[in-house]
Amino acid sequence: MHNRRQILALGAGGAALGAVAAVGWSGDALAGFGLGGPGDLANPAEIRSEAGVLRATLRPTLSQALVDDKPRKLRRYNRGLPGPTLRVHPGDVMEIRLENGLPQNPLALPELADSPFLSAADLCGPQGMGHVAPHDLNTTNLHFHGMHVSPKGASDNVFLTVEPGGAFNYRVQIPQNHPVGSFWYHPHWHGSVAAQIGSGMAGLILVEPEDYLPAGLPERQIVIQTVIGSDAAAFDDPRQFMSLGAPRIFTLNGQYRPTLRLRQGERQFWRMLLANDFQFCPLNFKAMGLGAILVGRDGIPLHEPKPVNSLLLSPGNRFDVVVEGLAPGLHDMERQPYRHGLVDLDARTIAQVHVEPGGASSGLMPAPAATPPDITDAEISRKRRVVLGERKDPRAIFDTAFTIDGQSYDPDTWHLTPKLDTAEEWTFVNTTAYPHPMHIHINPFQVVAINGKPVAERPWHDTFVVPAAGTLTIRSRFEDFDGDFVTHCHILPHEDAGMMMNVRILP
Amino acid sequence: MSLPRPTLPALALVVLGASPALAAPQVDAQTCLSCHSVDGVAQIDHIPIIHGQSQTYLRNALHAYKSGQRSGGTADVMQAIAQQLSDAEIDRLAEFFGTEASVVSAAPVTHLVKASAEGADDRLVYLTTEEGGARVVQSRFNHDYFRVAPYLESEKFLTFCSIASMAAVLNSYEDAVQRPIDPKRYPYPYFTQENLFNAANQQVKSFEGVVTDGLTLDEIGQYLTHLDVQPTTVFADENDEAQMRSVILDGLSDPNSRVILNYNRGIVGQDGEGHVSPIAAYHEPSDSVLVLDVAGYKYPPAWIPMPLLYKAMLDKDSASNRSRGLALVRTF
Ligand SMILES: [Cu+2]
Repeated sequence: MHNRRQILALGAGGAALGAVAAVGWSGDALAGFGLGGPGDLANPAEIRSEAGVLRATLRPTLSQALVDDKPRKLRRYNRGLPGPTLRVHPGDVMEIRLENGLPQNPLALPELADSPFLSAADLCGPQGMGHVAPHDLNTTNLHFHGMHVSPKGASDNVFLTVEPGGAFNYRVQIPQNHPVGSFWYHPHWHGSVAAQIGSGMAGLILVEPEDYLPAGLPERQIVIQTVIGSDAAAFDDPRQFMSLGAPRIFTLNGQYRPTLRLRQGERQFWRMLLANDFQFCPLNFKAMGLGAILVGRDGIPLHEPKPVNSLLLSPGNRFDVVVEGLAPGLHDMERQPYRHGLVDLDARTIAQVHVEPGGASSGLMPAPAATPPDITDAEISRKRRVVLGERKDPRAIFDTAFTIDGQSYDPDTWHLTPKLDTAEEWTFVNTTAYPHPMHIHINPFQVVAINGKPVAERPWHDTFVVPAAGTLTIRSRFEDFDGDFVTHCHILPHEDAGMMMNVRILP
Repeated sequence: MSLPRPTLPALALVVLGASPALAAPQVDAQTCLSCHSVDGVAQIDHIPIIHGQSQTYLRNALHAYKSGQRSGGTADVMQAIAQQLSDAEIDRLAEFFGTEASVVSAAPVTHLVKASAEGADDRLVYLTTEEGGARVVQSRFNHDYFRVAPYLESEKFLTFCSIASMAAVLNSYEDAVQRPIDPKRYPYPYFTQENLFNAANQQVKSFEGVVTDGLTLDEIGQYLTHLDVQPTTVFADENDEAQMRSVILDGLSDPNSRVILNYNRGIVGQDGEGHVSPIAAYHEPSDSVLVLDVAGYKYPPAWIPMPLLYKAMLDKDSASNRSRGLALVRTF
């Protein structure tokens, strides 16, 4: 069928669907519901923890895959698009071996090799090109996006470096009180983040207790990626992926414009992740013939599930949504039009939803899970202002470098130094004409105001957009873990061009 | 297998407040225009139009942002920007965008265009008339018309005639010159009225300077030398009419050459004064020159008789204290 174009992974890989037997979880695979087979979107391969330990090897390689019928050279984990889903319990340990199977870095990116503007002080990688431009696109590491875990040592430490041919054993202890929801893993080596996530390196992490999913509620994982559709040579040209206008191809679980089936009245639990580097993805459930009940945002459960018509997915966001087939028929799933600063992005059909007649509502929901308590005024120990900007820099692609508090990323500067067990209120002030989805590692935050207007619901997120020429005010509680991590724009070309800043939680 | 190598942050000691010297503030009119738009039309919903506000109001507002008197919500954005400005810079920006020196005060020219286009001034023949079109077909020197006209875009400011002319002429060389890639048009190389302002050209005259004063013929020549082509400036006061005609014909005959005209349009009977536009053709029987007007919102392209055009080139440009003339552009 035209809408079932498969990624053709050349060679054997660890991403074969259904390769891992379900152990210990009560939730049935999609197959148990007659879903995920021919004519329906399958879930990614899955690796589950056993007896409190998740063991996995993630091996990124550069290899060809067929996306929208054309061969694309992509960086992928275990030759999958996306990488395998990791399913764990609160309290488990993740033992993940990262084996960097990417090719050696070329000596320097050709466009930048002869730049008269670079000096030794600008180098930040082995053949680095400063903190304002992509470089060493095959050097990597891992980040556990949204997870509340230690940022130190072999845990969620984004300052580690794994060169091509190298390997590292991550050991991530998930606390017992970890929020129940959807998270994700992706590389986070400053300089290669946009290129690696932009070409496919990402996978879901689902944190939940045994009895979270009721039998009878099909769980559908939807990893939306936007790989760049160009020939292999062009892909490693930073001008290609640094541009909003680059021809990005939306895929769901690696499929180009797949069909998602459900029966009228039937409920499915959608775990949605926008695992990409640049484009926003507003979705309208009503237009897909669906009712939708939002259960969690960025891995944090809502106090009360809440019906929604539409959701804005910013790069990095996850939404856990119970959907119900309402209007029978074949509906387009559209990335809705989006005004990206000064640029109007058109609607784009990314999949189809087939609501078939003849179902019945199960009324099922995932088990209730705890929401962190609201961060009160009294808890705020300090307010900070964090200014996002841009400036001309001849070392940067298109001469545009991005800044936080007036400087592009500097690994040796520490402005944001909250104390452990305090809460702070930060206002991101965006002096550019573009939106920036800001992400803070390790601790989630509550959105309290946008452009100075209070947000009554105070939703929890780990990534939220600062409007073009506007402000975003958030509150965060720095609990359990001291140490170093970063905050940055999740438009990853902006991050690689300097829009990142260190955070140090003082003990 | 190599061991992971911690990068600097993992090793660094706490260096509180030891930030490297910050780059010099880069707030200029272009910074303002990135959100407040280039043509007086708001681009972002909550961003007001600042063109044509009173200078006093703009100056007071910038001071209020700088001092923190205006803050909270989106005012924080302007506060972050105004804090980088000195009092003198605030004055300069207020003057620049304010009414007294407004660059966008639109002259009511509609009636002038009509009168002129309908032939009230019979010395000019507009391209949009039957005679105007026929001359293009008859002309033996019309190749530049077909090369340049497809790339002609109207000037973005009333003072950007030289910039719009250079962009059209340079784009007409297509891949024979190295054109910059604008991120919004990636991967297609294209000269725009913004990216002509490369670092070398900003040294000659800044974006703001051009918005305020435009460019003189000599400055046009300097700009072109920084844009991968070879310019020759020819001043009318150093050449007679026949010599100027022959420069135009040389330019129009050579596929690697283009001609940019600097003249006083008031002298040819149009509304306005100093102006710049590409020359696209020469018509022998009428001894007239087709000028591709980059102020297309005012006048369509016009055939101007050579003797009249020569007078318009002889006009002294008060900015340079020299006559006007031609910039002959060649590829290397
Ligand atoms: Cu950004």
